[in-house]
Amino acid sequence: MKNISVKAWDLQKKFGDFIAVDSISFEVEKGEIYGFLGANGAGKTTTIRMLCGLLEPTGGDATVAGFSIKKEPDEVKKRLGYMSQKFSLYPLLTVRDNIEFYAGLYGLSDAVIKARVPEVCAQVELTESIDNIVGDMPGGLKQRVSLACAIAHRPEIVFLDEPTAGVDPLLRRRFWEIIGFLSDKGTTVFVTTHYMDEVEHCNRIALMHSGRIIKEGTIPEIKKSAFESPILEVQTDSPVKAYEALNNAAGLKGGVSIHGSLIHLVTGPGIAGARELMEKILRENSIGFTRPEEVEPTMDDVFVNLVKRYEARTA
Amino acid sequence: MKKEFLHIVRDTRSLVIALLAPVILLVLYAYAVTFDITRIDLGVVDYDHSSISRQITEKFAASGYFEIDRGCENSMAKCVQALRMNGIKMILVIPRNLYSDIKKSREVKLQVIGDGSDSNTVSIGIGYSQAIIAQISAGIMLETVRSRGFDTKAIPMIEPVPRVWYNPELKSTNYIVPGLAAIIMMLISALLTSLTIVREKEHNTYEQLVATPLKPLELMIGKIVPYIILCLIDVTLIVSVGILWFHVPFKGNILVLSVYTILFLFCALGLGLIISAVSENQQVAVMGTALGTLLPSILLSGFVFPIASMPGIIQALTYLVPAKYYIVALRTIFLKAGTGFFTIWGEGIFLLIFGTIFIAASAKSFKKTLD
Repeated sequence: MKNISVKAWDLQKKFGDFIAVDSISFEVEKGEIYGFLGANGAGKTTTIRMLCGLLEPTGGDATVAGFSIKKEPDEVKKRLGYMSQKFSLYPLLTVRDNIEFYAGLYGLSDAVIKARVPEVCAQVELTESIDNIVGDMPGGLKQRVSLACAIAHRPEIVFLDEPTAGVDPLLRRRFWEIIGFLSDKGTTVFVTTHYMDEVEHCNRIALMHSGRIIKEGTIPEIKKSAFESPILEVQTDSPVKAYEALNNAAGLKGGVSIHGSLIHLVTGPGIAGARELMEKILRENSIGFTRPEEVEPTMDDVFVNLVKRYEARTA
Repeated sequence: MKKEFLHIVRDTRSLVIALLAPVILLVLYAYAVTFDITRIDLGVVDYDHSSISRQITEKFAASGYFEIDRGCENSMAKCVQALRMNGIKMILVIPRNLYSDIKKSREVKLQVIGDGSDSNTVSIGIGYSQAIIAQISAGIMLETVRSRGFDTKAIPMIEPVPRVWYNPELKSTNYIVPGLAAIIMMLISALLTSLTIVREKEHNTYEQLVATPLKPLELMIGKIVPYIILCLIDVTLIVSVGILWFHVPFKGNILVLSVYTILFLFCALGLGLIISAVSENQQVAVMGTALGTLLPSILLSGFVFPIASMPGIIQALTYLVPAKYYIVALRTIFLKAGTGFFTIWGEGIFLLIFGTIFIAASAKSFKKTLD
């Protein structure tokens, strides 16, 4: 039997007339890293806040560690660690003070806290900064302090809301390694992000768009479902011009995206014809380019395509 | 709770404010707010130039309550001018023929003019002048009687012998300092706590707190206890300054004072927390504290304006102001020897009720969700 850590059904949140989260259902297994991917305003934060008992759902329900978020929010709160979007540390206190304080709120005894602080600091690689004042630390390190505060009481599930926003890539990678260790030890990690590349670290993801989950699954599954046809990539010196030219051409419209100096084209059925058409249009507009190659779709491609398809369906 | 302590200690700037501000406020206000009126500037227009008129002028000058303005040079026009320009507050007009009228045993009228735009000073000044003139009048009467050959001792007279207990010199600092202590404690304690939860909101730690299994009451206690201790230090400072610097006598019992202070602090801190829980940012919290606690405490507590002279509805409102009870308690404890818990139990009960209501309401206003 599967060991379910989080289960939501028809979970809904309305703010007045605005439906922030529109009847979503999903399951997260124990020890999984489950990613919520979506643009700002897609409803990721609202979902996470409901699961943490910060917001009351206006419809549906969910269980976190086996407890209903509607009926037993206090039991839920005891079993989770939450790291909110913005840094929520006490800037005038040291790393140690902050961790001790949060651990204390979860009812850990002084002796346990004393032992736990250095342990947690080692886990997030903060041992050297343990007595630094948090307010003076750089963003990437503060983020780890936040994580340390969220996991000091050894929760069954950690909810991380955009944990890597505004953190430089190197520290971001380290952060994901730490998350990986947590998951190995059996902690369920529920994470939201809008960095497409980060979802590669997740076991499973859910794509959110305007309050709904439009796709859920492992990354290969999602990539496969997003495109029946291959993707062509060309390199060009004037990507914007190329994008406009291709996007205006009949038959290619909507399948074009820019990635730096690269252009991706979703071909649709018949790759050979698409390649010819693409080369012809670019030549006609006298844009220099390399030979179009078939490539693996990036998460960006996937996301854009799925959103587009979803909107076409609902329109 | 420990965290709140640490935060207070680490935030040295706030700590200095919390500890120094009360003392500075006390010293400033105790000097500025005084109801003892001395040296009222007085213009004298003497149309008589007799020995009696000079005697009257001297009596006024010697009373200590008036300062005779020499610039008016005995001219009515100049006095009026000075009164208009706030150079003097009152004018004493001694009529022509004062001396001869007295000698002829006619009734004499002395005119005292006051500047009604400063009615408080002037009404007190008029009281003083009436007393001085009555004294002079009695002297002249006795003199006249004696000169006609009567034994003045045979004249029956009633002399009032006023004694003011607890503050025999009627020094207003003696009752202003305890009142001020209450106002300042209200300000400092409500202000400090009103900022604490708002600060959590601004640092985004509020959301984090809500996500923990922390109970509202635990949060409130954690917020209040450190500030009670800080405020008790403040009270000690204020009381010490009051006693050592302003020589306010302290006749009461330290224990009684402490208990009433803690009761009062529960009210003030609870009020601060309520304001804090409903305010979005620190500015709103400061405004809220000023309007919600400071103004009523100054205006409706009987600190400046006697409650007995307020209209009925306003008098009813004063029952809602915790500072009212604390001021009464403080003045009593300071000035009346032998004040025990039961001497002022009424105040204590009101403070207890308000404290409980405010703390309960503040715990209630701390929601366990964000919406």
